[in-house]
Amino acid sequence: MSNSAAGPTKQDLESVFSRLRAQPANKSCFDCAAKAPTWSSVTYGIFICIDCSAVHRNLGVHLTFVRSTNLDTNWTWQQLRQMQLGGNANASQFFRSHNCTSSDAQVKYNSRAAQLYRDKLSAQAQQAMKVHGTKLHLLEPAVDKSEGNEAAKEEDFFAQCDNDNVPPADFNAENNNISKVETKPTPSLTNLETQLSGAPSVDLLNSVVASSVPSSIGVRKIQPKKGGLGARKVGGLGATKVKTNFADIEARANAANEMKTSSVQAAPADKPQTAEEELETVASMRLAYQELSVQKTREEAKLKTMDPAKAKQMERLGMGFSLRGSDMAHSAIGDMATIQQTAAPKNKLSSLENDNFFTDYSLYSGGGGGSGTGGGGGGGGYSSEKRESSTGGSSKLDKFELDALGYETIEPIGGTHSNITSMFANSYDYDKPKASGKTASGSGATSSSSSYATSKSKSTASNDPVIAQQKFGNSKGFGSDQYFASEQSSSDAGASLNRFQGSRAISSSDYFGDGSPVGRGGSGGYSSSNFNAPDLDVESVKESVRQGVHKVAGRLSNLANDVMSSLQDKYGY
Amino acid sequence: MGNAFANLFKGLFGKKQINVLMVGLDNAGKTTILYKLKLGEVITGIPTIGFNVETVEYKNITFTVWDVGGQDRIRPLWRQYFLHMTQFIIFVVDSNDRERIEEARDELRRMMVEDELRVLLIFANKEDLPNAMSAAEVADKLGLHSLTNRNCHVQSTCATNGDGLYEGLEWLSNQLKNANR
Repeated sequence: MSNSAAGPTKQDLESVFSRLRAQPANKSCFDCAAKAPTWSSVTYGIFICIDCSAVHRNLGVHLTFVRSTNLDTNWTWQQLRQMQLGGNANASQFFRSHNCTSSDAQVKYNSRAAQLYRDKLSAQAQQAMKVHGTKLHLLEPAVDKSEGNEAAKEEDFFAQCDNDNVPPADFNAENNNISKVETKPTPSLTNLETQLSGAPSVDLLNSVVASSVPSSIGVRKIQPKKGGLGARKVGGLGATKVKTNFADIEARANAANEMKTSSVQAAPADKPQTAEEELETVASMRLAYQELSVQKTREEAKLKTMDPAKAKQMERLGMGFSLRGSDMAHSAIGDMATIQQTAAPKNKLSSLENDNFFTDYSLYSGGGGGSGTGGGGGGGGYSSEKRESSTGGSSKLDKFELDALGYETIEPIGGTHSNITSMFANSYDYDKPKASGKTASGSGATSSSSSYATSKSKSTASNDPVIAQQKFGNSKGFGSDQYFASEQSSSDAGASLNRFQGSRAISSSDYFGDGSPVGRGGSGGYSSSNFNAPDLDVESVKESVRQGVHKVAGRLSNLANDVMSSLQDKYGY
Repeated sequence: MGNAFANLFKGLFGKKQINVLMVGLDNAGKTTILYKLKLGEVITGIPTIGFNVETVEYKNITFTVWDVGGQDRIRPLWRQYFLHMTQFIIFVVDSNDRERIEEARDELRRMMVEDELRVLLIFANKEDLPNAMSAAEVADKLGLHSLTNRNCHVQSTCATNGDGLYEGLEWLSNQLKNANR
């Protein structure tokens, strides 16, 4: 598959999923809101219940790929990343922001919004793969960041904090206007404004010191970007941007901590917010963290350059952007990494790799005798000096080399996959000039292998992994007998194609020839004379006639045997 | 004499019964195939955890089809089924799922090291979906050319409209006859 060969271990999976399931939005099915979903659609990074998984499975893997979070164990890192970066909250927000509210799965997941989200999520996941490799936990999702219970607490705390100071309605994306929020003026407000307007001013340094002590709990400075719903931001992680004076938050956090201990505050579940609002809160908080972390680094740099003494003092006092252990806001920031800035855009990268692959591939097929299909079977491959042209073959060596060439990055891309085979045909074209004029009716590998046989009389096997494709083309089904019989006579691709075109079944007796399986494993294969067998059609006709006769004769003899034996039974002969 | 005819009759028209084990990756369409064969209608089934078993009659042969779940954790159970049960295997592949065809190949190989397996029918399911692989492509990707001593047959199917299912059974029944001959 697409990712590093070794997927996450069972323990990894368990810990990741237990963490993901701890998020409130993931506690109910994305489609039907049933409790405690254990299935997931990896494509969208959402958690669904088993009933909805049936619906998803019916849609096909090109739309949604369903996995169980506890019955499936061979997750890949890429899939895991998608789950980590996705989540029901992000998905539902995205769908809502794209006005895709249909509850009909067909409509919903065939929609453009779904398509966009699919692409976005997989791009993000690939980016995260590049950044984090196989590190278990992404720092990215807010709730994931700190350990265990603290994560939940943390999130609750902020929500609580918000509740204390802001009417819940302010969390609606539509209402994210700063004017509404900033009802209570504070000393640092002006500084905040300057900060918002552009480069942070040096004054802020003072204001931080000044305001950290007196600032009241009542001040709320969440400043989302206009338009809210920042989730659409490509490369960003979603939700609304929040600009905050960190000192205030800190102060408020302390106060709220105290309040919490006195347990005056109701449980988070009792909050007047609706579930959706809560989700949005979580999402926006995450963004806020991101923003804050950027801010923090900026501030720290500023502190250092501006006034080392002051900075030191602040550090000592635990102010500014350094943290205190008990403070959640702090730990969240400390852990925060901004994924956004790290990796190159995925499109660029993958196309780059595609290029590599193509060029490499053509190089290889040029050198490798030009079959373009490669030797699949163990020892049976081509005896030419280069046999690296195998594509999708089973040879480990080949696979390995292709991996090195970035082949693995191509594999997962469903859309391009079909092109690969046609690519083979193209690469085969390169070699056509070399071939001895049998190209007319030949399609792809069959004729290429025949030309190969003529140029290299020693070639023995034609276990090309794609040979059946070339041979049986559009037939709906076939068996091993047809496959191998026709392979034996593959010098005339047209004939074999004709033979199986339109047939829905190809079975092993045809495949191996003669109805009896021929032992032709790795070392076996066909002698070159087989490749040059002059008259295919006659042989195939003979074959089928013989089979027919066999069958009839067998049936007759069965019948006769039955009659005879029952007569014998009866009369005791 | 009557007995003789009875035997003869039975030989010609009597019912045979074979066990068929149907396996494949999760979400390949095994359960859908089973109930399409049995009921003639398409069910929207939840993932199979455990197994389903139904008898399907076709051409005087009673196929007892065991449909075993395909999730990772229950795949080891396949072995138990075919060790104790049958030599007829239906391996179902989602021909629309290009990313996991290799996984399917690996599972098939793992299973094929068992000597008891003789008759292998491969359903390349979901042929109706837009990006589906052809039967030939599936055969290639599954590496069938390396299964030299197997009786195998690739049949492209569409469980939702029933295409190809009975062709597959037809082939199985022919194999049964050949084996008895």
